[in-house]
Amino acid sequence: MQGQDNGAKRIDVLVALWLVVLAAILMRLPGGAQDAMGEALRRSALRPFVFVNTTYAQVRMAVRDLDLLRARMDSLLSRTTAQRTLALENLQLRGLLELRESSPRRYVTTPVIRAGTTHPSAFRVSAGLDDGVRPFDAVVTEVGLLGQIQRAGARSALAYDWSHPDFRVSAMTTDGRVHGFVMADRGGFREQDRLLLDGTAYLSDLEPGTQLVTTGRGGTYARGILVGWVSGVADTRAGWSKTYHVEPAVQPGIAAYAFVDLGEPALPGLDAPAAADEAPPESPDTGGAVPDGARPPEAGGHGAPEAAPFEAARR
Amino acid sequence: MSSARPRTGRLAAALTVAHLLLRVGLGVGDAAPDLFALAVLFAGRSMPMRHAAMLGFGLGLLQDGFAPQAFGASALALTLVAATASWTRQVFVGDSAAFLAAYFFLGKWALDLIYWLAFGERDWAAFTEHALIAGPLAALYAAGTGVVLHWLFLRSSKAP
Repeated sequence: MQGQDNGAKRIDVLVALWLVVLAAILMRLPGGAQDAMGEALRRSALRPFVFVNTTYAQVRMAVRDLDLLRARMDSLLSRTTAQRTLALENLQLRGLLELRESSPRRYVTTPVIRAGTTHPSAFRVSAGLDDGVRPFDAVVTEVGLLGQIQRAGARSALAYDWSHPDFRVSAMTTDGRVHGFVMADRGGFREQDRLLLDGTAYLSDLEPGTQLVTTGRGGTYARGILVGWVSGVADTRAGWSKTYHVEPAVQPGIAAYAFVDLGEPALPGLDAPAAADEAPPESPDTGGAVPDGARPPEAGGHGAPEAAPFEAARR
Repeated sequence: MSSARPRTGRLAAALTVAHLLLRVGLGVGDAAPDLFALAVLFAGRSMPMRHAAMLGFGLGLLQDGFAPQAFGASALALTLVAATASWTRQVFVGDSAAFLAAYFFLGKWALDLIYWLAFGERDWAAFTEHALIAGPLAALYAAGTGVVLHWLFLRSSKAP
């Protein structure tokens, strides 16, 4: 009897140890394999709960924020009414200059999911590759920049908000006078997290409250997204540069719903000359077709499906 | 103990579903206590170590479905805590409120510490904040909830 007990205990310990080792192996798997397993879990056992989350977020947006939405709609309506003359004027000027219509950016709306003991800066969005979301797309709310997509699965994606240590965005003042890089400045507590504007000219003198927006450099973030407001000088490097504290426009903790900026549709008319520059000379064998490797990258690093909505819009 | 086991099992199952509903479905985050931790701590007291470890591993995997940066860390932490919880039933006997509060508090705190250590977080400021402030508070919250749940659902199961 004693021997049986000892045997059972040994098996218990061995099974527990084996599971611990298995968990350690899971932690060391390549990111792609971990993503695939996580995606499989979310699409199977966790699916009902993800569905509840999405539905709940939509209902909450629809019901609780109705008054807020109505107020915003009224405000936007008054603004668009006031700007109607301006839009007409713009259209006429574009016609005179024979300028092409600027293509509208595309967004996909999604709830922000923060679940379990994940990284404090990480969150998930319920939109993925199937919706056109790609890594490095910007995640914005109605008030400004929230973060960036890092990895995208078929139906969901992982994103970091601005409090992540790796977060960087090129920013400028609204008049375009002062440029710099904005990065996270993590405090002792999450509530103390804020942003830093680094790399500005030493002679720059930004007043507290100065608005900072994205520059659009690099193509990752669209130009003009609100990043935050300068709250004071953080550091000066004598004769060289100044660093400012920035109060973020979006508090990650209260962002329940966001938009993923899918970027502008590819502009074949503008991309073609670059391709022509790089493409090899036409050969009779290919009939002038550009080989795959010589094709220009699509706008925002997104794939070929981007072209379809643009074509539809042009028609 | 045999009559308590089904009730504990049902309670652990209910806590699992409630955790996912609250934290994932309704997105309340840390406003809800860590019911996964309570599930393994309750189940660990009435299960052989291998079963408790399997439960911890399974729940950890579910948690990891939303932990992209640290896939496997929750599975590791919950497996270790569940196995230790099962081991403690052979060492510590008792179901007084004080004992249970200490048990749940230490179990949840240990879970968070193991998770952060396994996670390999390089931000030691955040780790200190989590281990010394947020961790004990979350453990206190879990301990209070655990004692209340035990009082509500498992108290009479120990009666002769």
